[in-house]
Amino acid sequence: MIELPDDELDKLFRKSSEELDPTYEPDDWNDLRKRLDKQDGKTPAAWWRKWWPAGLLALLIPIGIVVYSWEGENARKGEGRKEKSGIVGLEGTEDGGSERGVVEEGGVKAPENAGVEVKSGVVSESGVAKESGRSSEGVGKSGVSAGEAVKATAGVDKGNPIVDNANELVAKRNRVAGNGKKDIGSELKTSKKEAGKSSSKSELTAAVGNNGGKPLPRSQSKAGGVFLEPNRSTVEGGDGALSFKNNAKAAGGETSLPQATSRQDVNTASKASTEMQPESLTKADESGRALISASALDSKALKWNVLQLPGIFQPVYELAEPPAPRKQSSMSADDRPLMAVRFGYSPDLSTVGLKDFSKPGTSVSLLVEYSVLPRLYLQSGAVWSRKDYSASAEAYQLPKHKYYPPLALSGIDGVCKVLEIPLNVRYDIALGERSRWFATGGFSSYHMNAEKYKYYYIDPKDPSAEKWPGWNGKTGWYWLSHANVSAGYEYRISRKLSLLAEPSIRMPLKRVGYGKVNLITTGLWLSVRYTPVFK
Amino acid sequence: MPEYNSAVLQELLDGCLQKNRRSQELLYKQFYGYAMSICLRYTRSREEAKEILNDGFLKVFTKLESFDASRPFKTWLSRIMINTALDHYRQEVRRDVFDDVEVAEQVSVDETVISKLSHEELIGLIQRLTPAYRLVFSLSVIDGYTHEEIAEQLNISVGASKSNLSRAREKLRDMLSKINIDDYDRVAR
Repeated sequence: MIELPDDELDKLFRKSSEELDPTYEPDDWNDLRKRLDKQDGKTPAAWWRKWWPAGLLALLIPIGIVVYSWEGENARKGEGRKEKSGIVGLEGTEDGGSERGVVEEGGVKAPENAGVEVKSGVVSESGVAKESGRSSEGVGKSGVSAGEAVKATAGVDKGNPIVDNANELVAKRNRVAGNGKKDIGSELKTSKKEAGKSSSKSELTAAVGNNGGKPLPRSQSKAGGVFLEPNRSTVEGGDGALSFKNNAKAAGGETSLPQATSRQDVNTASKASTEMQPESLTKADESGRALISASALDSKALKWNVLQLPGIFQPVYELAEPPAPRKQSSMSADDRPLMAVRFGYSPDLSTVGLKDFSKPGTSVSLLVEYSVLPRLYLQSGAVWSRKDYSASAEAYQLPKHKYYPPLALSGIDGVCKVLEIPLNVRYDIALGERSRWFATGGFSSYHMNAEKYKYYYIDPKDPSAEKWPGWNGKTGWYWLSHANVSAGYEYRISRKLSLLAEPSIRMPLKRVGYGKVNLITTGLWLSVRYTPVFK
Repeated sequence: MPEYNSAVLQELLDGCLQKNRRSQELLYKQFYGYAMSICLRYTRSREEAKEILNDGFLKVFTKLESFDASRPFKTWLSRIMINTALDHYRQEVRRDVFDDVEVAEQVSVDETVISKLSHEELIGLIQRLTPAYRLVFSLSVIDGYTHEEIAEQLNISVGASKSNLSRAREKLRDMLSKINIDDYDRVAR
């Protein structure tokens, strides 16, 4: 053995160490560069791991916008079609003379209408007259009274004797049906000009007053060529009022389709009326003063609100049939809740780096949503969760102290109870009859209520293991520490209750807890949504 | 101004702070030999040293903002390399992958190698020590740590540190005794 003193030996190796100059190996740099690329997110996989939440949002938001605009466009098209069909129908009517006249007669409607209805005892709904002793109570939103038809006719016939009795009123209505083919365009134009005068209260009162004691027999209750039969439906008309649809069926169905208004339609309606009431038809032919068709009544009925304004004469195109109320889906805007409350449960899968998942914890949430736009909600509340996670010691940044490198740890297990305050924006991507798809994004603040860390030492016999087995405590608030992304499906089980399933992920924006760990939480929210307030 | 604070180095460090890959490569190349020589004496092989070297440089590039530019970069770099090597050692201890001490001792110096003894081969002798001896020897003799510091770093007692150093020297002498004394003299000069 070489007998070298310690200092000589040390000098020998120190010198070698200092003078050693290993040859540069480019491959070593290439290996490091790959790791740097991976860390900086320059590889596709790393890029995706780093940016997939943003990518998901970037994907969902345009989809939502496209779906929204597409549905909006469809709705506009639908309205456009209806509007167009209404205008076309009216224009066609102008040619034919009948419906145009009726519509303009509708414009003559006077406020005395109610009195007419009461006195005549004839109440109509959707342009169909009906015997009723209930006066205007039976008039629906879109309803039009027989009295209105009378007034209209009276307006047209200014200067002519106004109907003297109920029979004449009926006859006049039947005339309308019977003279569907008759072109009274010029007469209607006149009526348009003189309508305001024709709707004088005195005239109408006089006309109705003469009929007051003579309620129309059921057999003569026809308007616009539509045979009137009691509508016992309580759904549309309620209280047995006649619905136009039912009458339309009786008349062959044409009258219910404004866009199908044509001479043929009028003929059909007239024919039906004629077959049922030949006597009335004869009277109508003789007088030939007015023309009212069932389809015109339909149009008139739909312009009820417009016609409420006495003395205001709307051009035909302005009186175009307002778009029929769209069938309200249960999730439509009309009954969209402004506010909603959600209670949810989710397994809490917390991890560091999306690996080494430990047993799932539990999360419960109570959230409030407020609608700021038709499909946009602000969402906040509270989430209580217990998070179990474990990771290698490198994933933690334990506070530095005099023992640094503090403890020779191989890993740390954490169990934390967290109060989370989310602030999210929820967007409804697609709405269905009873369901909807939505996406949510936002931020969460964590309050670390109770933290328990258990240390695992590299050397189980490490004396520090007994001295510092772990750490218990709480470190408080970490504002906006996580970004939330989720997407879900909501199914409405009743008017105010719906069920939701919503996979979610919370990505760390900053380290939290005593161990300063980047905590990722995934879960599946199963929630009940209650909507106490509706528009 | 010391070399480690030269304008060129500062420029490289600025580039590295901006994650400029070219600057990182130049810095890596410039300090490769220095850092690798540290890593080699704390490990058993070049492959292992390379792993620690790259781990260390990764820390350098990701923690560069914490570097105090008023202090020598080399010192900071060596500290990082040594700490990385110690972390590696701890992981190895946990996995219990070290060779038995006696096995390491039984490695003999090839007679044909003795005549070509060089710095690499002397460092190779250090690499043949058991991890506990190698670390204490490197920390104490080459990197100038006190036994108290070593004890704190390795979570051992001061006495254990002194004992390990003494035994490491004995092992090295034993290995050197098998090398031709003339070659030893050549290297020592």
